[in-house]
Amino acid sequence: MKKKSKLKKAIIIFGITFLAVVAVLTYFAGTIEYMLLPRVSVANIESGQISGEPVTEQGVCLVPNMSVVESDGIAYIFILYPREDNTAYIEEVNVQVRDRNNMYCEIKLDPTFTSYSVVYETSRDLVNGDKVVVEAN
Amino acid sequence: MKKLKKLKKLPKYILLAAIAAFFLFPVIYMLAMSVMTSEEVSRILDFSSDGFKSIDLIPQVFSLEQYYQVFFRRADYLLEFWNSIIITVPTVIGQTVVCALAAFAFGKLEFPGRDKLFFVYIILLILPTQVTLVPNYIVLNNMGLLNSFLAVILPGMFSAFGVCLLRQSVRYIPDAFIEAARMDGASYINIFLKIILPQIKGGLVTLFLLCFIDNYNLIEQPLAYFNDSEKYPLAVTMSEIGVNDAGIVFACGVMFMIPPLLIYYIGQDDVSSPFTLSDKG
Repeated sequence: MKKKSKLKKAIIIFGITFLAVVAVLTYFAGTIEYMLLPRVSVANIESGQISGEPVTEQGVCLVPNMSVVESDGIAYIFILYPREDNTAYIEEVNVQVRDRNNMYCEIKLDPTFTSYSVVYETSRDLVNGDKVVVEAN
Repeated sequence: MKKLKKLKKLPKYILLAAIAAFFLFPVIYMLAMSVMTSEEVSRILDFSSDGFKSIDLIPQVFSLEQYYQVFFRRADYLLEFWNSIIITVPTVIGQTVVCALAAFAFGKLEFPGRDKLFFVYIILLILPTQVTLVPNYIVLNNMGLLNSFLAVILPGMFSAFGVCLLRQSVRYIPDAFIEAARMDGASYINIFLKIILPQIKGGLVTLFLLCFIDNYNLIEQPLAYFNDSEKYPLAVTMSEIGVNDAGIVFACGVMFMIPPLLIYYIGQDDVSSPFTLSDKG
């Protein structure tokens, strides 16, 4: 009987603690999430070619070398969909690398994305659809 | 002799253990999946191929990734958990109070048309929720309560099932108790609070638990009455989580089942006796 009431007491304490922890996590959810988001540096996608010649083809543009990720022969960049609170969602967009020098990479991508910003530096590996904090532009 | 008796009981225990394992399987499966990586969960839940799918209960890699996502990265699930609590707790308290009062009236008070009125009330038991959804929607719309938590809480407080359950408990109390109290000058409120309530504790706790589970798992009413998806309880969201978030469903499920389990454990002693008198004194 005593054992049972002790267990009941422990369960009540666990229940109250559980609700309190969830309440604290909910209250500070915004702060916690912001602290855990990857920090990224971004640059604008600029129209142009490495050779300096005027662009005649749609979708040809220059992005920082570091922004192009290549894996298994496929090259892609992360473009940003900014939100109001200094954060943004990223989307993985496949590109075709045409040329590069020390700083820039000449790529061809879907012309609808040429007005977006691109991630060139990140504090953590990114995955398509991640939310990030934009640190520098 | 004793050994033989024990051996005779063995098949019974094996059968009971098998039945228990069968009923507990979904819970064990949920717990196992909640500690797997999202890749492993996606692989297990990939039913695109027709071949036989094995049921994996032991994770290849033990991971708390899903819990990390739910508690630290996806605040929307926590908010929806609180939406569930905000909807459930007032509904359950309200329903228990309303049903106890109604049960006392239907069970012990004499007034004209009592049994006919109770019969009409019972008819509500037969109607499925979906039937009353549209009339309730119209009433709530006229009251300006749509898209607020009260839209779910207020209709939820009036349950025909609860009244029936508690009326049965109230009827077990001998009329002599009430007559004696009346002769001593006790008011009906005093009789209700000091004689009826202590004796139907089992029924109240049973109703509280059943009502908690019922309202905690509401899906149709929030979907019908709330335009704002931020007000949806976790039960609605869990039924809508897509394949990409499949792993999170299991961690959410574990979080979601903790409050009912705790409440059941606290009240389980009284659940076993809803129709017997609780006040032995």
